[in-house]
Amino acid sequence: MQWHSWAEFWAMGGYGFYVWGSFGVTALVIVAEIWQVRAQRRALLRNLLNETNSQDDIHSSPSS
Amino acid sequence: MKTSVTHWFKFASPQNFYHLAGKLWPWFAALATVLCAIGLWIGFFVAPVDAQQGQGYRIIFVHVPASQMSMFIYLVMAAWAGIGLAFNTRLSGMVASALAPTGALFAFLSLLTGALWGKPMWGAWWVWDARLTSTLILLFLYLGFMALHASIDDPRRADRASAVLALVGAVNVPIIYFSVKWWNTLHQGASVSLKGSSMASTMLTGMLVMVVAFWMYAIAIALFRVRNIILDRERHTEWVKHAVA
Amino acid sequence: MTPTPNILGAGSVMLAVLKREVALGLRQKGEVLTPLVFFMVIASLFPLGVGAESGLLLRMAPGVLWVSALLAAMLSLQRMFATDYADGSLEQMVLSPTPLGLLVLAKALAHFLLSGVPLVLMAPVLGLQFGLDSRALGILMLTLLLGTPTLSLIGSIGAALTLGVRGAGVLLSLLILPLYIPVLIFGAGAVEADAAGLGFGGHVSLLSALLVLSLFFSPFATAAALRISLE
Repeated sequence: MQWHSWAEFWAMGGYGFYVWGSFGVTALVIVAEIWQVRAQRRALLRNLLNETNSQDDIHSSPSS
Repeated sequence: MKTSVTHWFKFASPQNFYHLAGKLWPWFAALATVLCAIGLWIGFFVAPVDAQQGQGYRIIFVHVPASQMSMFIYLVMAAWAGIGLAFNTRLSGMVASALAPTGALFAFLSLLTGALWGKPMWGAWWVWDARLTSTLILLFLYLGFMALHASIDDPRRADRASAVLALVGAVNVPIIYFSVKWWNTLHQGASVSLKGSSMASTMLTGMLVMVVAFWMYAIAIALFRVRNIILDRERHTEWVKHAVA
Repeated sequence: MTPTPNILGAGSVMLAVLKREVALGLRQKGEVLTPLVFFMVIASLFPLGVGAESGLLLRMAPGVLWVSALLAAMLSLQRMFATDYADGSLEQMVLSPTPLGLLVLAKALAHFLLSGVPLVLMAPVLGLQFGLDSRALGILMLTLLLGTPTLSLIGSIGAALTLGVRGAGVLLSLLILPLYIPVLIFGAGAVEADAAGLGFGGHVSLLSALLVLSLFFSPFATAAALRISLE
């Protein structure tokens, strides 16, 4: 094992900010993208459900 | 007699592809996760320190995958767009649109991590390095594709117009890369890379594993996103109404 | 009976389109002159922004003039198809027996004559403001002469793609500018290379190559884009 302590690992030989910044930003972007596609799906399903429900109401409402 | 080729063509219908993509994306997501874990393990615990760049070089384990994938995704996007234009298939355009945001995000990440790499190595947040500058232009091409698609109301016309743009862009990418490279050498620019260091084989392995991890992730996200696009575009069909209810 | 392609026929149709475009452009003098004035204004903004120190201006001049020319050329691109689209003559062109690519070529050539050539002629005047000597001015004019047709040709693709679209003007710029970058690099680089003793031949050859490439390929892309925009 080349890391002799956690402190050494986090420090990354002085480059800690840049290395962890890069990995952090990457993780952030990936998590954000996953969240975005899932939110998009939820919104779509909600929308489509409303559409079909309102159409059912229109079709099934008693004609006057 | 149904040949295996015609059997595959059934997935050109958005409805069938929707279900296929639904079954496939979790597998790609799992692959991406596993490969990422392996790649990070190699990157942090197996690969040695670099003689010239110290521990700072480890940024390549996200920078290189992001830039490789941003370029690769653009080509795949342009290919699907071309297929859509040539065979007039609806689904191809949807797949191209599903790929674009991921490609753009990877290009953006490549620039960010490139800056974070360049700052400690070259002292500036941005050096007009040939590869970084080409990636910046690639980001503009992605944004142009998405902007054009968003500004046309009719989805079919939007698909086909942005397809032409993607193909023109794809043809131009090598020309742009070459001209930026020329421009860079003429101006004696810095180079954000591991040139001059010997790439230990473990570094290379870690990098490759991460590239494949990013690739699997891109496929998973694109499959998920194309399902959204299919639902949206096909909302007036019976099968969508059943699928949603 | 389908009309057979007639080379002489196509040529005279192209000439007719060219003459029409130039005549229409000259009639709308404002539309032709405004980009030219824009060119002058933009080029003058740079010294105002970065200071008038002569060494700096001399170094910046080819790049600044090229970027300004690029932006000015882009301004008039929408005119290529928009007015014809509005009055229906574009549909006639698409439906005509003459290959659409050739008609598009004629339009792009007209655009070059109306916007590119004035830029080439105006550039030396502005170049003097930046302190360029006559040799540099000559090279600059040559690169602009070779580069602006390419800008018209590549620009026609963008103009066709954004026909009738919301926010077409700015969108067109966003789409086209990345594709203009190689022309910019070699056009502006020629003067500097010559000043450094490397000669401008390489840059000029590359500019010519880009021109030939766009002459052959952009009419196809533009024609395809027009058909997509018109359906």
